[in-house]
Amino acid sequence: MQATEAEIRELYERYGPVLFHRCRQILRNDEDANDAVQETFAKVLRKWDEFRGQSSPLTWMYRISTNHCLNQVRNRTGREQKRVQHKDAIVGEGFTRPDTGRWETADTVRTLLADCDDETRLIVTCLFYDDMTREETARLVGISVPTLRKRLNAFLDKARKRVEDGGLPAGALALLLVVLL
Amino acid sequence: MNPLFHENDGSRPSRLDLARQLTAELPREDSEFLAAFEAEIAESAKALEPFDWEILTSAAERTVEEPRVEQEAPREGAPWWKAWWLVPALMACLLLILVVPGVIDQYAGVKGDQVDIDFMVLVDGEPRPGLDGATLAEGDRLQFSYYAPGLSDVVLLSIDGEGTLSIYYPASGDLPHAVTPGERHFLEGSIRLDGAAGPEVFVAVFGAGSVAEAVELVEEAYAAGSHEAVQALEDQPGVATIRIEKSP
Repeated sequence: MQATEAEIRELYERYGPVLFHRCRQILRNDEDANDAVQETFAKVLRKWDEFRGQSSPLTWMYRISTNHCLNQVRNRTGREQKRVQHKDAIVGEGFTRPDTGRWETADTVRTLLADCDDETRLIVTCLFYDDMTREETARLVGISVPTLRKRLNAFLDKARKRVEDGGLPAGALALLLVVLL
Repeated sequence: MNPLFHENDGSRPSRLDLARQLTAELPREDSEFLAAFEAEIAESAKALEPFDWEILTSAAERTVEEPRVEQEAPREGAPWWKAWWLVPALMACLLLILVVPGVIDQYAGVKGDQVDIDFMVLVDGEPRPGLDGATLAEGDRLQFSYYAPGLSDVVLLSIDGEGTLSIYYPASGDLPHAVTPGERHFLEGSIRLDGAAGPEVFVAVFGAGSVAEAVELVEEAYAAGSHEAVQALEDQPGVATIRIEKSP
């Protein structure tokens, strides 16, 4: 069965703003966020029968849009690795005004997230951006809570190691996740 | 509790919960969390594109009906002037020649028109004001300041005497570096000059949508008219430039 224009329009008006906000927060770019919303609704159209069976259409669309956004972020990371960037040319804290080095920490967090597999990134995003509980996150990702715990612990071990190596100030990570995502 | 993170233990609504309340999937429970979230949504919704059935249906069909095209193995034996790519390549070159100056003129993706950048240079351990056009040497350190009324991010890049484009801010990623609008502020860190002799033009693009957009702007200008054309970008809204000379 095919969705009608009126049905999709109603869904767009109801869910579009919330989804757009979500995508915008991850992608930090209006154009990309609009693309992500469009892709999500395109998927609704293609999987109309599956979509109609969802008890929470928003949760279904959240998963689709988040995956799309995280793929975009991953692609960006790939692009940036190919581009010449001269971070090494920037030295010290500057000589006119000391700074906290916050942007360097942000880089470390980006690297940390970029190194994760897609599922772990989705888990981290749900837990620390969406402020979901472990149970909610496990439901959305489609895994059990013990599996989620295992994935999360592996991620946190890496983060702790970065803290111990001095690459990441303790306590800054949660804040920066919010800033970055 | 984990020392790094503060997970939601269920004592407060998650953002997904709040979103479900706003979309009437869950009963609405008025709270400060919901009010704040609703305000965020209302603000960002201004940038959401309006519903367009044609775009959505074509996006849905595109993914389903356009299978990935397998690349054909190159044919052997055909002379190069009969190559399939020759005509489109020539047309692309022609288009580039005709269109590039126009593209540069069209750049107007920023709001501010009174931005500027300045720099300090470290000489014998002492910071001194830098001068546009100053002659500097390898190893000199520059720290940039900016004035960006109403704009909150910048991409700072340069093109040196050898035509190499370097991006300094942001240090990585495609998102421009966040800056503080209003008063003059310094960028964090200082840039140590490398040994490429000749002119180097630093370009600050404020309010660019992405690093790629700023890079494209500078690369197109350089292709159209070398360092002078890059310097002339400062006539564009939201763009400021500084030129230095590097001694060999």
